[in-house]
Amino acid sequence: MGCLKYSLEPPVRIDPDIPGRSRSCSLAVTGPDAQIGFTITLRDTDKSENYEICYLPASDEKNPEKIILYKELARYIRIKGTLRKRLAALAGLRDDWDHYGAVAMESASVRNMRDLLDLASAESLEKWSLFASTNGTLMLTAKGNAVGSISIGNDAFSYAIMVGQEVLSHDPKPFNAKEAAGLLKELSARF
Amino acid sequence: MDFRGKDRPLVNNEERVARFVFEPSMFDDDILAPSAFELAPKLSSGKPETYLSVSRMNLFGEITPESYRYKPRVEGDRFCGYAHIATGTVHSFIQYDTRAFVLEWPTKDNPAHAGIAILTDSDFAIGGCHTPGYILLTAHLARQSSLVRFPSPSLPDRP
Repeated sequence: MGCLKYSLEPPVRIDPDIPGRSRSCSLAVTGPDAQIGFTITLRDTDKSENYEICYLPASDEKNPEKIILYKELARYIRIKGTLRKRLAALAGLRDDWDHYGAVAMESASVRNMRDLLDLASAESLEKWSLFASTNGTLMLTAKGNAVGSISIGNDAFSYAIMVGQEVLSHDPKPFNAKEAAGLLKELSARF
Repeated sequence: MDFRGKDRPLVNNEERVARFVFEPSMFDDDILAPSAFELAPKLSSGKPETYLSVSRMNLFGEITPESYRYKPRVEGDRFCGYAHIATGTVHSFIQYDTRAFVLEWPTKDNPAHAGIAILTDSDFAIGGCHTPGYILLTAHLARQSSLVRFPSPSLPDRP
């Protein structure tokens, strides 16, 4: 069975399922979505020990709630993990990375995007692609039936998006991760 | 059309133009980054870009990984594909007083070369522009383009 491993930073709490071992954990998703399984490694920060617990919830037919929880966790890990890896790779782009004269990624923009990814819900993020902009900033570009982007800069963010006949936009305003995450949720609900 | 004091004819609406892509991260599966259609903020001359370079497909001929002479400027970059779009689709976009025009712009090296000039309000945009109309235009051009990606057996995609 294939194994996709994602680390969550900050770690998620899953104490309802693993009492007493929830301070820090990483999760690995195994197999395709239809057969979700988890290997959960807990790192108890006090004892500096690793605990490994394996679940195969897809076969846990007696506990449908647990299966739903795990599927949601798998979705969360898949979306956020993918975006975080992508952000880390984009952060390394240097001057002229597009061959046409783009400038290197700005560390402040990368930091802002990282903060946004931490706060935004996986449900919202699933509707956007993460790209670098030629001016060294980053953008989330709408998928599906919406067209447009949210631009995340060093100290400001802005957006312009078309959903059907409706056009929404805002000029640059000071970056605030919580506000940007709220905007992302609001825009994502429209398409 | 008068572009910064020089008359350049518009490319016919029925033609398709190709924008070459040199950075794999501009593709996210089958989605193209709007930055593929962004003007560069700083060219090697130190000045911002004033138009987007494209090639007229009916004049350029078949586009292959070998059809473009290209020396990598940054380690890992390569001619990794192109996006092509109907000129009429470029010309039909109007949002926030922002429009785009595909202009004939033949060069010695590339007689099929054309340029996309972007008009925001009454001024031509330059690299670094970030108006809502410009953001929508670049996203629109990326969405409406058809994509061709070249495989790279020797170099891994990044990211």
